[in-house]
Amino acid sequence: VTAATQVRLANDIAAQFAYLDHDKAVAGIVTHLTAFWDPRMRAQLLAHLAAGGEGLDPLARDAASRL
Amino acid sequence: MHVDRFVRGKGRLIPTPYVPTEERSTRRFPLILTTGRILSQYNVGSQTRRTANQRWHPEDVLEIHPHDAEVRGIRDGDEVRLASRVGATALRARIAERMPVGVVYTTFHHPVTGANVVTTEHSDWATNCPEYKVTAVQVEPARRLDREHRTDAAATLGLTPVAADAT
Repeated sequence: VTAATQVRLANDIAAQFAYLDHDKAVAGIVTHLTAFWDPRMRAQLLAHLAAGGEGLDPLARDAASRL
Repeated sequence: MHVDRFVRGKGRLIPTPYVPTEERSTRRFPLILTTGRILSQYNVGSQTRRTANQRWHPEDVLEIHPHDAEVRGIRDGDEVRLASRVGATALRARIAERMPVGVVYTTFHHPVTGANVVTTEHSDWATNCPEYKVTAVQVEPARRLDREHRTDAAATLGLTPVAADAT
């Protein structure tokens, strides 16, 4: 699985929470990523974020930075 | 429990925006593959494959519209190669008027079909369930290696075709 896959998934998740206020949306995304993602997927997302986080939706980026 | 009122109100509605798949047909993979189940085979293969109803569906076939079949030189019953950008498998074609032009369909009740070899990395945001409904593919008459792969896969899995009159 490539980082691009994690980025797409994270962005799709962000789209589902985008109707909420920023902080609630970020909290919701963090909860989802923590509860349902395999630790290896989170590690891959964090590595992508550390490398600049290209392609990440702003909400997904904020959520990833709080993992 | 809910005397006079529901304890958490009449309901909790949560928006679920539609997120279209990024999968697109291309010149190399101009058809869209969608997969599904047949009622009589639901979970037959994913459980024990020891119940008698498996006889009703001896193999998965690829349903394809007559126009799509004709331009590819595919006749009813031919073995065909089904390929996407991630993988390829082989199965038998069935010419089907019920299919729209541009869309092919198969079931995934038999592991030898290898439908999940063809489907992509796309998945559902909530459960990460793989996308089984939209995969860009190409279909062509099977090559010898495709047939051998199909036979090898069946042998590896210890499968033999189920005869229609098996008891």
